[in-house]
Amino acid sequence: MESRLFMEPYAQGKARRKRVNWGTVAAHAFLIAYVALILIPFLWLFVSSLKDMGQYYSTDMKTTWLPWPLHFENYPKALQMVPLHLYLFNSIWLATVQTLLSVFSSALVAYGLSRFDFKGQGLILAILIASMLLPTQVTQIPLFIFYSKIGFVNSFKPLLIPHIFGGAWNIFLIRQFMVTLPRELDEAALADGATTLDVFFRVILPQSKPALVVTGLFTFLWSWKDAWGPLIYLNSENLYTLPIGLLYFQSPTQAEVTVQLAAIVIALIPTVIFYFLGQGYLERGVAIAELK
Amino acid sequence: MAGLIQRRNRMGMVYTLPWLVGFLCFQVFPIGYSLFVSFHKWDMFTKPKYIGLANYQQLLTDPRFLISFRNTLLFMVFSMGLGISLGLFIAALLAENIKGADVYRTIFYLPSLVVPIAFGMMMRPIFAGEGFGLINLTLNLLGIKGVAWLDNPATAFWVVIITNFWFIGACMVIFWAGIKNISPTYYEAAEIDGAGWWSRFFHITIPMLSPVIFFQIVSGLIYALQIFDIPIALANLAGNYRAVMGRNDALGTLVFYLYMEGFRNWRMGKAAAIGWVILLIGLVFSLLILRIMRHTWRTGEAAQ
Repeated sequence: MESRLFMEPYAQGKARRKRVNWGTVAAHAFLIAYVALILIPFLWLFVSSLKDMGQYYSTDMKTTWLPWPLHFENYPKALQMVPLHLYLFNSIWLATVQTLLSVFSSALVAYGLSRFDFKGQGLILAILIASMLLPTQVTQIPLFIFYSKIGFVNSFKPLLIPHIFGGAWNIFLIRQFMVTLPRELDEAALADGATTLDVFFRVILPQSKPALVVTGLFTFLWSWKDAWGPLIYLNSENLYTLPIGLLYFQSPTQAEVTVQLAAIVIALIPTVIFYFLGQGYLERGVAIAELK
Repeated sequence: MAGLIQRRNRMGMVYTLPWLVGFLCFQVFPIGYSLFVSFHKWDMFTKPKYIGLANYQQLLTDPRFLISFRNTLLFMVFSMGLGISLGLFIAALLAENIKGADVYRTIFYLPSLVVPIAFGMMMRPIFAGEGFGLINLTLNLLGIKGVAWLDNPATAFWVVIITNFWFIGACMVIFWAGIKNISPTYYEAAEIDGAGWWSRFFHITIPMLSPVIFFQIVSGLIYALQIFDIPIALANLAGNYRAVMGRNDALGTLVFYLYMEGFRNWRMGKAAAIGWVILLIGLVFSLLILRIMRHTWRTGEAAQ
């Protein structure tokens, strides 16, 4: 905007004001078209979740977009057919515990990698970054064999245990933040006779709150969306998380697709709440995550 | 005093131990063990039987593997190539002070928060082959005869690729933040020199952003290599007890196939072999990108 003002003396007063900036018009046209395209499936989903099957199979545009009467009973039906509240609880419980474990351990490791100088530190950091590139699926067959040998399959344990050891992405992100904290903070506390663990809990951890919140949000979001782990390890319906609960949704009649769509709408609601709660932090995380 | 500092520094090593232990137990060891398993025929119930490289040889002529392999590469090209370019382009548009940029950004970003399984499941009826599917309904209005998108092996995987374009918001916001960090003086100078929007995009935005672009390409590669949830949601696993990846396996990807072979058919050896193929592809591509980007990376740093 400032550069526009700067250009003003060169412009020809009146003539400039009248000129339409076609570039901006084209940009808006493109963005509006794309945004509309993004929103259409969501609108369709919501409208269709209020249809009966006759309306659903209609090939008429008007019925497709403005069905009448509306069938709000699809929602209570969806809640009756599958224990969505249970899946929702499982999802939130699992995501919360995974997040707490991962963020705490990652912060501890990041503390070790950012506030000390020891031999091999650079090497560990390099391995850490390289490990982010490993596709995790290659490890899944041996891990599954191992967990089934010790009888942990069909429980949340295999989904929680890896997080006790921290996650490479989180460690890296928190480390990037901790490096920027002034060294005087630790040194003052250490001079007072505090142990390094005291410094971690009383000084560094509180100071790193923004990074912890951001990694926490991203871990929670990852866990919330994850289908791979639950699909492999959870077999009983009362352990299902929301993604696989939806995936295995089967209505007794096999025909009520619109009830299933209502269930999907219910599953989308927490996402929207999540976005508006975490909005500021998600953008802040992007700034920290940036490799600069 | 020096000894004390040294001892304290050694504590740093202690704090990194949890990750090192986790790395060895959950990555290094399983990757090695996976190679061992891949030389065996093993269904978890009977004893593993050593069969050498037979699993890998089998994969070379296995049509389901070849489809999955082709689909994964196709997805990589489109999600990394087109998806990242489009994300960058939109980010550059939104970084201009155009009206409503915040609203656009929110709408672009929101689908990235949606559970991919849920999103794939809502796209399934939209791409339904019969006349009531939203896509075919719209095409009919335009006088075009629709196709059975998901049931036709030629089109099924394109639904996955198209669906993924709803998720480019995640990379778009990272580009957007990166562009916002570029000093406006570069753009002002270019504008005085009479450089147009495209010229500024190619000569300032892209070179200045090259570290971020590099980071996005690498994480895009890892994402594409592991693509799994959109295809399984589209393949309708609920009514599917025959372990098929969509009609004629047309929705298969490498990780989808690994899941089917390992956790539906209990062919652990073969699944481990697929895992190793995924790992090798990841390594080859990472090295390739590193080589290609080294040049751009340097110029990007020089520009700063």
